[in-house]
Amino acid sequence: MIFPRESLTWDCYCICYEMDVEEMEVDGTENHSLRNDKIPKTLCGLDFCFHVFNKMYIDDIIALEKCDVIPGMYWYKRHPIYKVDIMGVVVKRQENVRCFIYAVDDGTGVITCCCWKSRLHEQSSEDIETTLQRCRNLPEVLRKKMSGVLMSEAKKKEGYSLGDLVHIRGKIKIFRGEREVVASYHNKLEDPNMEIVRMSELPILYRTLYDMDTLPKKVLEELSEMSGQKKGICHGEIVPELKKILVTFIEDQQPEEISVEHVSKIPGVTVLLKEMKTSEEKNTQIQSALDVLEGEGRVFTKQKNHVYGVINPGCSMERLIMDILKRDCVKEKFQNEGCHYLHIVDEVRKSPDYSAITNSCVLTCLNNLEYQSDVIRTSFTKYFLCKI
Amino acid sequence: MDLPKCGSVQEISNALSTNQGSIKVTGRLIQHDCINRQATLGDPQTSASLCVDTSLTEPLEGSVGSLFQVIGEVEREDGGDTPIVRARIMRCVDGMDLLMYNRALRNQQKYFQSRNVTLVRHN
Repeated sequence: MIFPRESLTWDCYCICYEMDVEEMEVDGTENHSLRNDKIPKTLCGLDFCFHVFNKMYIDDIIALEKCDVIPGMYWYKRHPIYKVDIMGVVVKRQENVRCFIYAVDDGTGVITCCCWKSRLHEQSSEDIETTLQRCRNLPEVLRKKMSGVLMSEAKKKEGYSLGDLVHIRGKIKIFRGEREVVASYHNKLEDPNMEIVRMSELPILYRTLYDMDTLPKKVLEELSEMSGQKKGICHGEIVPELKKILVTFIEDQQPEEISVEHVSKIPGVTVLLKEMKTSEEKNTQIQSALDVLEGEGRVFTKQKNHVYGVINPGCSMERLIMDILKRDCVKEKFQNEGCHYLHIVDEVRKSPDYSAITNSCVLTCLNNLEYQSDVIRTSFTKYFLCKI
Repeated sequence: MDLPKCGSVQEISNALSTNQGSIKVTGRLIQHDCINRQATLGDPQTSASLCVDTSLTEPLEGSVGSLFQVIGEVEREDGGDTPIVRARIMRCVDGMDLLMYNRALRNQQKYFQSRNVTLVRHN
């Protein structure tokens, strides 16, 4: 048996030379204190181990800790894992009607793998000979290819035998109390050097990936601090929650203006901010929520401090914009396509009440006018009056 | 499901000194006796050799002189010094680069040792 060794052994040499570097010792001292905290459920997607078929030792796969929060997820140190990639020798084989069950041994542990049979194979009961007979009319090259394909399919139908080196990728599941890998990809490897490649890759992967944390240290420290304190909402989520409450309030009540004190009296807000001790903290949170709304164009700051005007359908800015448009749409310059919205913004800013208005506020107002069919949007940025 | 025990990877020289358990060794087939179901596996580097009982794996694919990987249980004959491996799996690995294999094996063992060290420190 001759194997194409050249390219493969070169890769092996490269990996082995990398490995011989003695200095690759992980400094595990810093991570010890944070070792027991897990990443919260919402941040698991940030870790690449969540998305990838992880190459791991079978010993580690068996020893993975189950995750309580997400079903089907397991923890290796602080990485969430549910898909694995293993390479090993088949030491036990069992054929069922619908699947093959193999026990795979990679030198560190043994795990069962379930390889489902292809439904197509069940249906086609034709012999290779009869299929080849049917293809008599094909040219020679294609007939050879066809017989090659049919033979490899037949081999796949038989499954792997004891002692084969197999490469399996799949999800970890629990079947009858035992952990097993349900294969989504499985293949027999003819070249024994692939085993060496995997043996060389794994220590490097472990040292650089699995034994290290994905998130930066400061983030992890903050997370562990927070998980000690909070019971309800996490710090970063207060402002978005506040914003949601404010939006529903504005849509229901449609006030002309709101202030920070007014907001702090809304029942939903008092519940949310009840954990904050000083009113200053509460006010800063409310202020940030209002700033976010301003960025989106729902509110704008009026001249008096801490009072925000609300952009509602029917507010006074609409009348101002309609006046500007009535005045300008008859001018020659704007007769064809209408006014550019930035021109409208400039004109609005000329009036003393709205001197510091944001672009997004004017856009919201224009959208409201469009809904009411008072204004028409001729292009992406230009607006025209409906009735002059 | 009763799983067979995992074969920890060993070199032949180590295998000669282990007492019991499942191992996985790689070596060249020096001798093969079909009738008595015995084989001898030799390490090409050192001159160590290991006896293998092939009752479960006959007939063997491959001939004398090929590289084989054996997974099986080590047993010692009653009162005997020589260990014998009851092979469950005999796998022909012709074409495998033994130098690379040994190097990779050593690196893997080094990594496992460093893991155990950090565990001890942690406790």
